[in-house]
Amino acid sequence: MTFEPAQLSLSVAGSSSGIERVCESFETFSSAHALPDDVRRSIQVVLDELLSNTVRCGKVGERPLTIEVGFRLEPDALRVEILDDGTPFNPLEREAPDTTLPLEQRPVGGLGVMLVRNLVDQITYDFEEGRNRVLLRKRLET
Amino acid sequence: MNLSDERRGDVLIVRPEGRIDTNTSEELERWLMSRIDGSLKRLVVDMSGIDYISSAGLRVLLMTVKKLRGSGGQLVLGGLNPSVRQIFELAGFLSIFAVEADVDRAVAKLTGAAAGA
Repeated sequence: MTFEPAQLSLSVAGSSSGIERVCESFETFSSAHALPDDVRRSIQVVLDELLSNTVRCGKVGERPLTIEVGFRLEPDALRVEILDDGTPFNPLEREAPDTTLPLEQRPVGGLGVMLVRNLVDQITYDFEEGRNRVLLRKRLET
Repeated sequence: MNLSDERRGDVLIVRPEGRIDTNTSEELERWLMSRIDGSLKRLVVDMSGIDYISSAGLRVLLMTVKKLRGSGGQLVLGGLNPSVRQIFELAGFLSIFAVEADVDRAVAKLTGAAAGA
């Protein structure tokens, strides 16, 4: 009998197919470790927001962009680490949109980072050795 | 993503299944936009087959409701799972979208009929 390790890391190209691979790998990781649905879905949304931002804005010239994602399951929390070698970009510095505006004045988009902040319990950013690093922690509530 | 339509009288029900994220939202956008032609007045999006939605999907729904209301139409969403509902809540979308517990109630909301009647 084999057991899935309680951690998973992968390196993908900074492209939509790369995001797809991360999303599928996390889906497999979630079922293997029976992660609660709300945790799995929150992390999928967070990954989509952060990785699509990186792919859209992070590319430096013609150099291909590489994204590394690591998941680590602890007894009470899931930790996610996202590294990329693109343009320095701190997603936490982005201003939150006004979510109380009426329909006519709502900007289309700009909600992603606000969702990320609300869907995880902890988030930190740093830029070291030429790479952006975002660390996330999501509590596993029982 | 799987997409299908159902007609109930003059109500069009669009049923996306899977996840609505950066990779799938364009397909949903094309599907919805091609159905809003000025003559469609009543649209229900059945969200019961949606596992999760990111801001790319919220953007598509926002565009849809703006376009539909622009031509005098109405949109009601039904069947949001708790995670999808939470995203709507965080984004402040519950105040701009009509949301019902399931597709039958969403249709009833548009036709003025009592749900289950």
